[in-house]
Order: sequence, then structure tokens, then C-alpha cells
Amino acid sequence: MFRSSSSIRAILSLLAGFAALCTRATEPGAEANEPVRPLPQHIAIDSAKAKLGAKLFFDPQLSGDNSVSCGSCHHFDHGGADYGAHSNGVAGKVGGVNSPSIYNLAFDFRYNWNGAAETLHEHLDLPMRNPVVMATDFPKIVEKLKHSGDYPQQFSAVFHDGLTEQAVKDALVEYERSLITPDCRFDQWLRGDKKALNDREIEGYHLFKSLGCTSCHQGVNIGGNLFQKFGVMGDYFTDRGNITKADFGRFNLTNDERDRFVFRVPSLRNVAMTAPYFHDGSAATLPDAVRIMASYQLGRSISEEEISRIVAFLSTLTGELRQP
Amino acid sequence: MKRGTWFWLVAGFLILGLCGYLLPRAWLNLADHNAYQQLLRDARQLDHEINEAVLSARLGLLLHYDPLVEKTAALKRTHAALANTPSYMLVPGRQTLTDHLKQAEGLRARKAVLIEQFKTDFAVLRNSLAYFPKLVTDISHRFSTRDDGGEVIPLLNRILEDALVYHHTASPENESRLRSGLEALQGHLAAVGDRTDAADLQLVLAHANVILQRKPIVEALLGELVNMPTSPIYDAMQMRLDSEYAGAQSRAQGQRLVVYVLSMLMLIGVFSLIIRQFTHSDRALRVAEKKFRSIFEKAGEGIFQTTPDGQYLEANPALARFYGYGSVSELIQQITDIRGQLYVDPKRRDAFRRQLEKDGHVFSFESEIRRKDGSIAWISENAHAVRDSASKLLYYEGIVADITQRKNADYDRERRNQRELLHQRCLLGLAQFDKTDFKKALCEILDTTAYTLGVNRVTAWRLFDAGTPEESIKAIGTFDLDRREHRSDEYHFHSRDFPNYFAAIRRETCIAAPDAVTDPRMSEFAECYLQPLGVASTLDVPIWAQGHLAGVFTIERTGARHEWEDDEVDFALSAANLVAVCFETAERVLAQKEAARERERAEQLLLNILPGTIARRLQAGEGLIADSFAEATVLFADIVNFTELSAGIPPQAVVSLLNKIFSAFDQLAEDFGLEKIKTIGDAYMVVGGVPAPRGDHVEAVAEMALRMLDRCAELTRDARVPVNMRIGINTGPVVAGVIGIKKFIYDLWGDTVNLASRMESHGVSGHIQVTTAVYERLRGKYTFVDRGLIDIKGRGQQTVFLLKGPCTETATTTV
Repeated sequence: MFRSSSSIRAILSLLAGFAALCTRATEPGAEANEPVRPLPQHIAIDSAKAKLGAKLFFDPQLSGDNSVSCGSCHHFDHGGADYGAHSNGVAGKVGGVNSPSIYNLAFDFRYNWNGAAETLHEHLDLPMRNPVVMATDFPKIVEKLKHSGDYPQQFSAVFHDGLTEQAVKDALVEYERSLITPDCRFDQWLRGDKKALNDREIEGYHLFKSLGCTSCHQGVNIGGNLFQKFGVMGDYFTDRGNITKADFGRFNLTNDERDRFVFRVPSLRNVAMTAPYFHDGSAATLPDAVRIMASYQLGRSISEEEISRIVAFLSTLTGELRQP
Repeated sequence: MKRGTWFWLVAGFLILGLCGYLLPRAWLNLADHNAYQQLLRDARQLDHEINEAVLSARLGLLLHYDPLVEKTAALKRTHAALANTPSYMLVPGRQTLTDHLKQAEGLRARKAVLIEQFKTDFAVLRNSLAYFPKLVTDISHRFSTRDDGGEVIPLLNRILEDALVYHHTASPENESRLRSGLEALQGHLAAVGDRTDAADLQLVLAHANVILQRKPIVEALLGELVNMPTSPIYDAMQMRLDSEYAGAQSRAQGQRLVVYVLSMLMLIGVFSLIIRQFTHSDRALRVAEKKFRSIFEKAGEGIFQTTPDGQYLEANPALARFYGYGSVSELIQQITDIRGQLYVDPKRRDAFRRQLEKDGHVFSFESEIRRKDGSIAWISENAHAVRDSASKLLYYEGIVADITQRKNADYDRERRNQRELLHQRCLLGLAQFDKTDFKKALCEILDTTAYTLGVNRVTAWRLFDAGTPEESIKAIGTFDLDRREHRSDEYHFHSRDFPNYFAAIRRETCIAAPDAVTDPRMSEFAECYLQPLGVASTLDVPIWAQGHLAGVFTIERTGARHEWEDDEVDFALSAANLVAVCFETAERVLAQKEAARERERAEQLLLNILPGTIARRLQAGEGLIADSFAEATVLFADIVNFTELSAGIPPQAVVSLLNKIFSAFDQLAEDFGLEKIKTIGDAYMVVGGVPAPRGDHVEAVAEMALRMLDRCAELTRDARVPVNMRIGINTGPVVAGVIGIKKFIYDLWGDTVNLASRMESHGVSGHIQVTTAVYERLRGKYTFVDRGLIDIKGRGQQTVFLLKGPCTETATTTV
């Protein structure tokens, strides 16, 4: 028997167009009709856990040879990303991809350039076990921490079961989640403060929308919520040359031909701070990145003037880091 | 005491202990059940919302993917939580639910994959679709200055149109049309040498190919996504949960009864032993009897002993109370025929006796009985037959439990299910109703709602001046069930007078007010509306159309207070949704009419400046019209010495005079079926044979020229200075077409046109000068004067003629 009222409603709405229902799904307010949403000003964080996580984040004991910490590649004076195109892991080994920003991860749908992890917890194992990044694993880390300073006491104070693998991960994740950059000028503008942006920046935003950038870079993180092929309208990798395995992107996980060169669309929050750009760190400056995106993703050639306006808009996405 | 006594006592305590163990297990954990049910509802709702989000993204109503991401993640979490089945379930039920959940989870995982593909492919498609019109326009513009523009621009426009049509309806015909256009462009690309142009055209090909490839992918993904059979699985889970719950309920009931019977039997046994132990002592016997009595009398359930022929031997106060008698003795005295007096259906007593005869006992024997005051109740009896040592039946002994409430609940559930089914049928019927006839559809919704829910009045209200201080709702249709009629009452309420209500309809999806007069959201209407109309309970559902509050759908009951049930609320929500659809459809129809009017107006405007056939072609989407005509006759007329003429009279008078003359010429052109092309200052240009070819275009133009001279003379007879015309005519091939995007003008080009103009400029005041081509065509029909060879600027020597008039019967040419 057909018991549910929502299934009736499903039939009704399918029969009759979705407008009324769909618009109710969007938030009310000034930003309702924009493809980009502002970051929430606060999210619930367990600050005791986050504090422990912060300590772990900068602790080189988390690497196999005690040489690097998470903070070695995610710099807080560089938008939470690394300075160079590639990062150095244990024993000075060079990583395969450009280190992305550590900020606003709570709003991303997958992690790593190829989207290998669906949650932050899942993600933690990836850099730890990667032989050119941290080259260790959590059981080893827990062992190390048990004999390191007052970690056992601190964990016991915060976690019921004390210092365990789960507790270490929880603390790190809580810290990662706490790193948000709300209230950038663009968010203020979205929330209704029309003076937060100047005319040129507003024009840049309109250009950003009308050129089609918001086909992928949308939502609260202006990206970070879908996969896309790098080189939709042109063959980026052939043009760049020297193709590596990391360039295959999601294909390395799924072995599905459709996923070759497919990457997680990164968030554009704080993008002005995080040069160089792309998974290969190949674009040294933001105008370069915009130019490549326009040509390979959108199939358009845009003028220098247009690029400079878009860059002006993108610079308004730099927010202030809220540390726990 | 004897050992037997101890044995019975120990056994009794063991049984009591067992009861203590069994009872809590049998107890149903309602919170557990409700939480699970809520999770099921959430899952179904999320699944539904995901579909909605995908569809609204596809329709461009949702501009970002966040809701999709959030809801897919939430559905995954909900499924994980659903793995913990409620504790009261038995193994088979648990297994079934787990199997269903596994199925649902499989679909969810598949859906998540499809959604990822959808997001990726749709982003690309959306980009190309948005860019394509601009791209084509830009490139057309660039090509308009090139030699091959005439060839490429129509092709580009065709591809644009085909691509948009294909996006709208991805049929195989539309696909092959688009493909053939692209092939033609590909062919042309080979011919384009210039590098920048080639890159432009390649871009068009690339974006068109994106549309061609991704459109079917996106549509297929969408189709698979929304058609996933998820809700039948949730339905099956819900049904299984319901039946498990009902089973657990009756199990609990049964267990409780068994435990009770056991404990009663044990207590009776223990005390009868004690009594037997103390038979030698009257005092002891009295004490024991008193104790037994007190148990008997204080028991919550009814206890009875009845004779086989239907009289009470013994009953406890609980039974008397339950049957509605003041005392046990009253019960025993008044009921002398249990079969006829107590049982609503006397056959139940027969069945009761038959079963006791056969098995010696009955358990959970459920019957309807009549209380003293005539009210009906449901009982469940557990009884056994008591026989003497010779197996002769002495009496029946048993206990009675009141199960009226449970029975009513069963009945209610049954009734509600039936009602829900009926509601669904009505709604489906309504949903199929034609919503373009707004009035009729609204009436249908109103009276179906009233009849289905059995409510006194159903009204649809429309919101006016939303968001302004003048905001109000007005009744646009009411169905009154008491009078069985549709009414249009003049109720009109302003938001400033009813602030709480207007806030509530913005805030809540539904205002169910069993006590409308005291409900804070409704009480503002108490004096002006509810009390005068005798309304007790109201159910108001805001109508949202296209994201805006558009009105309210209200349901009212008069008389006694009515607690609105979930299924009624659901029905109201769905009906209000239908009204919203009606609103939207009505608006769309209005907009269509408005657009049609607008189109007509534009058409009229176009007709004023363009020939009708050309205007229609432009409207049909032909961006550039350039037709060549093998033969046409072109006439130029000019007012001689217009500059000097205009110097002598005021400007207004000049314009007025010109207007008079040219209007007369316009009339002549229309009379002769010729096409006026334009006026340039004081010059007038007209053509014959374009855009509709005709055989007699030379004759028609000649006639017009002659009449023009006459009309001009007539009109300027009163002028202070004589006004003379100079007319030139030529015939030959021309190209005619429309150029420009904003200011359309139908114009002629070609050598024929230039020469016609020269005929005029090199002509003689007050005369019509024509070329040899014209003369050849008209020779024999008109009279001419040969002007001989004259020097035409840029043409050299040409023989020209002056057209004098038609040949009379006898006249011959005066060449």
C-alpha cells in the first residue's frame, strides 16, 4: 500500500513543476539568488579537542622520521597552503601534487585532489601512510605519543579512553574543522553590505558568473563540492607536457576512463593567498590560473582587462582565520 | 509446615521471579519505535529532496550544489542509523528490514555516483549552453565584414537555433539537424584560410559538440536518478515495521495475560494449600479466607465464577465496576442470563462454552459485551472449567480484561488507512485535472477537499500587495459543504490588522488549530470571522508559488472542536500544492497572453517599415535576408529645387507639404501594388516586382510615375512657387534584403538601382526619364520621346527616353 504522503507529494511535484517546492529549499536572505553562499560565522567546535589537535598539527612526531609536521606544508601566512609547487615530506622527499589549503575543509565534500577520502577522518590516513609525505601510520604515532611529554595526561583529560588512535584522529579533525575563514569582504557583500565591495570587484563577480566560472565554483566554498575534468574544452595536459601519474587524478582510484584527468574542483576561498595554483602548481600567479581556466575549462579567450577584474573579485574572498 | 507447602511457596516465588523477568521484555519501547519511524521518514524525505534538488539544478532554479552534497551525506548517515532496528523486533522481521535497507543503501550508493556524474556533466553543459548564443553572435559580427560572411553567418545562426532547439527537445530529428549544420561548418572550416577565423569556428564546433554530447548524458542521468525505485523500499520497510509493531503489541498483551493467569493460579493454589493446612483451626481458616478475599477483591482484572446455564456464582468488585454495576451483589442478581444479557452477540457464549467443553480452558477469548448502561465494550476472557472428582462440570472460573481501547485503536488504524487511501486517490484524480482552466480547477480542488475531509468550508485566498503595508488576503473561492455550493464571499483581510496570522503563514508550513478562537495564531480572527461563522477548528496551509507566498488554503470545521490528524494535514498540504500549481499555471497563461500581445505589437511595428512577407521571415528568425530578383523596376522621384522651395516657407510648412505629397505617393504605391522602399530627404524610392515578383512590374511603375506627376501638380496648385518632380525609372536585376539588427530597413542594391537613380538625377523637371531597358519593355504600350545619347556620370553615353503616357487606340510611338 502507498502509505506515505511524501511520495504523493513527489508525484504531485513531478506532475506539476517544481518551482514552489524547490525555491523553498534555498535559504532566504540577500544571497538567496546567488550561486555563492557566505561561510557561517561560527561552527560548533569542541575547543579542548581542537586545542590538542593544534598541538599535534605542528608536532613533527607525526612523521616517520620526526622531520615534518602537518604545519610544514600548510602555512598560515599563505592561505593554509604551501609556498612552492611541490612540498617536501619525510627525508626531503618531494610530493606528487601541490599542497592545497587547510582552511574551510568542513565545507568540502571530498579530500585530496583526486577525492580519495570522503571524510576528514578517512583522509588522515592518506598523508600519514604516504611514503613521500609522513611515511608512518596511526598505531606508530600513538606509540610515540605515549612516551612523549604529557600527551597521555592531556588526552586522558579530554578523551574518555585516553590516548588512542581514534582520539588522535578526533583531535586532529576537530582542529582542521575549526580552521574557517568567515566574513571575507565578499561574504559581507553577500550578506547585504553593498559597500563591502567596490565597483570593479562587483563587476569582477558578475564577470565570474557570466563567463560560466560558477558552473563549477559555486556553493559555500566556491567549489569543493564536485569533480571536474581538467581540460574540458582543450587538452591541457598535452599542451603542458610531461604527464605524470598524479595528472590522471581520479582515474588512479577508479580505473574508469571517464575519470582520467578528473579532479576535485578546489575551493576558491583565500585563493589570492595560495599561489602557485592547480594540482601541479603550474600556474605561478592568479591571472595565469584564470587565463588557463578560461581557455581549457570554459573554451573562451578572455581579455587582460577581464582577467584583472576577476582577480580583483577573487581577492575579496580572503577571509580572516578563526583560530580556536 | 509440610514439605509440600514449602515446595509450592518456592515454586510460586520462582514464577513471580519469571514474571518479573518476562514483563519488562514484553514491554514495548515506544521511544525506540518512534525514533526508527522518524528515521524512515527522514530517509524518504531526504531521498525526495535529493530528487528535487537535482531537478531544480537542471531547471536552473538551484545555482549551487551544496544542498545536493549535504542531503546525500545526510541520507548516508540516516541509512547507517537505520541499521539499528528497534529492540522489540523478532529475528525474521529484523532480517527483512535489514535486507530492505541493504537494497535502499545499494540504490543510494548508485544515486551518489550518478549525482557526481550529473554535477560534472551538467556543469560543462551549462557553461556551453550559456556561452553559445554569445559566441555565435560575436563570431557572426566578426564575419559580417568578410567576403564569406553571407555564407557563414546564416549557417552559424542555423547552428545556434538548432542547438537551442536540441537542448529544448533532444529528439533524433533535432539531433541530426544540428549534426548536419556542424558538418557544413566543418566543411567550411577547411575553406577558411585565416587562422583567427578558423579558431573562432573551431570554438563554435567545440561548444556545439559539448551540447550534443552532454545533453543526452545529463538527461539520461536525470532520468535514472529520479526514477530510482526508492520509495517502494521505504514503503515496504514502513509496512514491515508496522506489522512487527502490531505483532509485538499483541505478543505483549498475550504475555501479560499468561503471566497474570499463572500468578493468579499460583496464588489460588498457595492459599488453598494454606487453607487446607489450617482447616483444623477456624480462626486460621477465617484469616486465610480474608486474605484470599482481599486479593480477589483488590484485583484490577475482573474475576468470575459462572454456572454453565449463565448465572454468576461469584464476581469481584472490579468486574462489577467494569460491567457498570454498583456492587457485586447487584451484578449477581441482575444478570441471570449471561448469554443474552451480557454478550452483544449471544453466540459468543455458546462458542465460549463449546471451547471450554472441548479444551477445558479458553485464552484471550475476545467478545463485545453490553454494560449495564447499554454501552459497548470489548473484553478478553481467560477461563477454565472446574469439575468435581467425577469430572462433572461444576462451574466456569476465569478473569476478564478490558481491551476496548486496544480494539478501538485497531479500528482507528484500519479506518485511517482506508481514509489515507481515499485521500490519495482523490489527490491523484485532482493532479490529473486540467489546470489551465483556473476557475474550474480551483472549484474542483475546493469541493473535493471539502467532501473528502468532511469539513464545512474550504477557501482559497490570494495574497495581494505582498510585502507592502497594503498586504492583504482576499477570498477567491469558497466551497460550503453545508449548502453544497461554491461561493465567492467578499472577505478581505489586511496584514496590518492580523499581524500574528500573517507572520504565521510565512513561518509555518501548516497552521493546524483545533481551538481556533484561542490559538494565538488564529485568535485575531475570533470576533470578525470565526465566531460569527461558528468556526471551531481551522487548518490553514500557506500557498507558495514560484518561491513566493501566493495565498492561503483554509479548511474550517464548525461545531465541536476537532483535532486534526496527520492524514488530514497531509491532504491539505497536497491540495494547497495543487492550488499553487493552479496559480502558477494561471500566471503562465496570463504571461503567454501578454507575450502574444507584445508579439502582435512588434509585428505591427515591423509591418509598418517592412513588407509583410519580409517581416514574417524576420520574426521566424531569419537573421539576415538578402534575396536576388532577376527583374524589378525601380523608380526614383525628386522634388526639383527643393532647397530653394523650402527657403521661402517656414519649416513646418515644408514638412507638412512633403508629408502631403509623400502620403499621396504611399497611397499610389499601395493602389498599384508596389513596394515603397524609403524616402531620402525630398526623394522618394519605390520598386515593382519586389518582394513579390510580378510580370507587369514595368507597366505598374510607369503608371505610378504618371499618376505621381498628376498628384504632385494637384497638391501644389496653391503653392506660391511651382513644385515640379523629376522621375527616373530603370528595370533589371536587383538584390533586396534587410540589414542591421536594431533599425530594420528593407533596401535594394545593385546596378539597376544606381542607374534608376541616375535617370532621376540626370532627368528633366516635370518629366519621367527612363532607360532603354524600360523603353524596350513598354514600347507599343506607352508613348516616349527619345532624348538621344546623354552622358551619365560614371556610365558613359546612354540612350534615354522620356515617358509621356499610355498609347491611345490610334496613336503610335513618336520615336
